[in-house]
Amino acid sequence: MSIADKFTTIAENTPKVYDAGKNAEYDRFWDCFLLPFSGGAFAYTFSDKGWNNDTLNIPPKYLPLKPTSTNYSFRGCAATIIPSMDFNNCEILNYTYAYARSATTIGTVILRADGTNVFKSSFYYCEALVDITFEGVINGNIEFTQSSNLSSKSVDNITEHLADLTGISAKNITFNKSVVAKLTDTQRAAIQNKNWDIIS
Amino acid sequence: MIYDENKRVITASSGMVLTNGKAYSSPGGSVYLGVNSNKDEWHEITEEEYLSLVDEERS
Repeated sequence: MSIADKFTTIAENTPKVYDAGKNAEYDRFWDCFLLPFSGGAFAYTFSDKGWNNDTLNIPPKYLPLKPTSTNYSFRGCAATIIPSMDFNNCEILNYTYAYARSATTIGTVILRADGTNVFKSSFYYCEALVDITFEGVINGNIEFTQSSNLSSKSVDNITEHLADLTGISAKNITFNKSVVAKLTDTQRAAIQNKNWDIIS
Repeated sequence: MIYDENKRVITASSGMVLTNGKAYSSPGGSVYLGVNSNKDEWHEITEEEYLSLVDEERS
């Protein structure tokens, strides 16, 4: 191979070598970044506008995140897509997604099957939220007060995961007025028939 | 406030907030009652009373 050919080969391989190095560093970054959170204390972890869809790009091997505490985990975050989280080791979801004002999609919220998770202002000021998906059982008062664009599909998913409280004390689910105004009779009845009060 | 028996919904008067002592509607908001819920548990308060109660809860 002539020297000229060698230079040509090097030039051709440079982007591949660069990308391979970049990918390795990307994995290394997340290994290092998430290591201190391996115990699961995710309070304020992804807060502030530096976290956007490019930077909050967590490798699939870490998902769903498995927190043990989550106050304001995405406060002020600029990402429109929030990663999925498994709350089986985290009873209290107080303010978990509060002030994730840019989030249009919240990845799967995996709750305990026995309904023992607690919510207080968990979605406070999630004002851009459209799509949210739950697994497990919602068995505590829950609010989506500022989420005026919450999709009908999300409402159906939430309803599906509400505990059936028939015959025992009702609990409350709060939606934005504009969401309640768009509920069909069927959607409203599905929630009311599980003995939940719909507040707006 | 107005109660619609068919839809089991309470609607607050303009500028008033519905409460059962634990939860609150928005001003002029509504509460669709669950199948076993009792409408008599809900009453109206003014927005000022609501803000005062929320301040108390936060402090």
